[in-house]
Amino acid sequence: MDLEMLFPRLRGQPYRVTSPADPDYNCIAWALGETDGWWSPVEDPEHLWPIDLPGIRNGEAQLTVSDIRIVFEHLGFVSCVDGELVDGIEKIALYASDGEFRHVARQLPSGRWTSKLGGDRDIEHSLDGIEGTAGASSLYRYGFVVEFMQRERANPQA
Amino acid sequence: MATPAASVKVAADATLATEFQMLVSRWREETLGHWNAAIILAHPAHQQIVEMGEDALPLIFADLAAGGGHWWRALRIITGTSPISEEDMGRSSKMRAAWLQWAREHGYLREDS
Repeated sequence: MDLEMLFPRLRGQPYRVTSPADPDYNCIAWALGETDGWWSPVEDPEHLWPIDLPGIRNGEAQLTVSDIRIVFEHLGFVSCVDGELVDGIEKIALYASDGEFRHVARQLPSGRWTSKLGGDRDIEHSLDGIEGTAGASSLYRYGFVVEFMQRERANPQA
Repeated sequence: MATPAASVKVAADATLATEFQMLVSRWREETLGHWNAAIILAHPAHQQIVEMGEDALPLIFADLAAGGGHWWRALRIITGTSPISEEDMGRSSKMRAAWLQWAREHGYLREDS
């Protein structure tokens, strides 16, 4: 589906598709710089998940922002105040809707942001370009940025 | 009028393949943008494909070979096994390769596919 239908705020903004749809990784993998695993809290051993969270592992519950913060802390991130570009630091932005974690985007060395849209495409975008709750598909209504986290950037070019 | 057995088999296969493709299309269309496998795998279309059982395996493997994803649970349930080594668990490319090799060894895919 057309990206501007899915994300109305992209209209009139610079953005670009950087990879075709791929079911082999999701936004959490992409936030970690990976393209060969699907991070998800299900019991199936074929999925990656770093830490047990009460009531989450079976997939019966939605992840809250607090839950996903714990996950990314386990993966080496710490909370930070904003998404301003800082040399040597890699930031991620957590998107949520009604308290439910819906998406994570990663900051590029340019200061722009990159996202894997579920099993759909990767795109480069502005932070607010994929915000909102008015898109044509509820699957892509990621809500709004609610928190930033950061870690040292391992590869300055990535 | 009696229908020759061979024709019935072809018709049944064609019907199954059509139903499978419809279910896969609906499943992907209604889950594509979501990050959580719990949501993706709980979709009714995925459940219906699992319920097709062994008859669905050639279709699943063909889709997997073409780059389709999220088949791990269905394959494990239908076949009752998993060819994925512990060290490859979670790595999509390695898991796909393991299952496609298993499919060739068990006659669900041609050796040269």
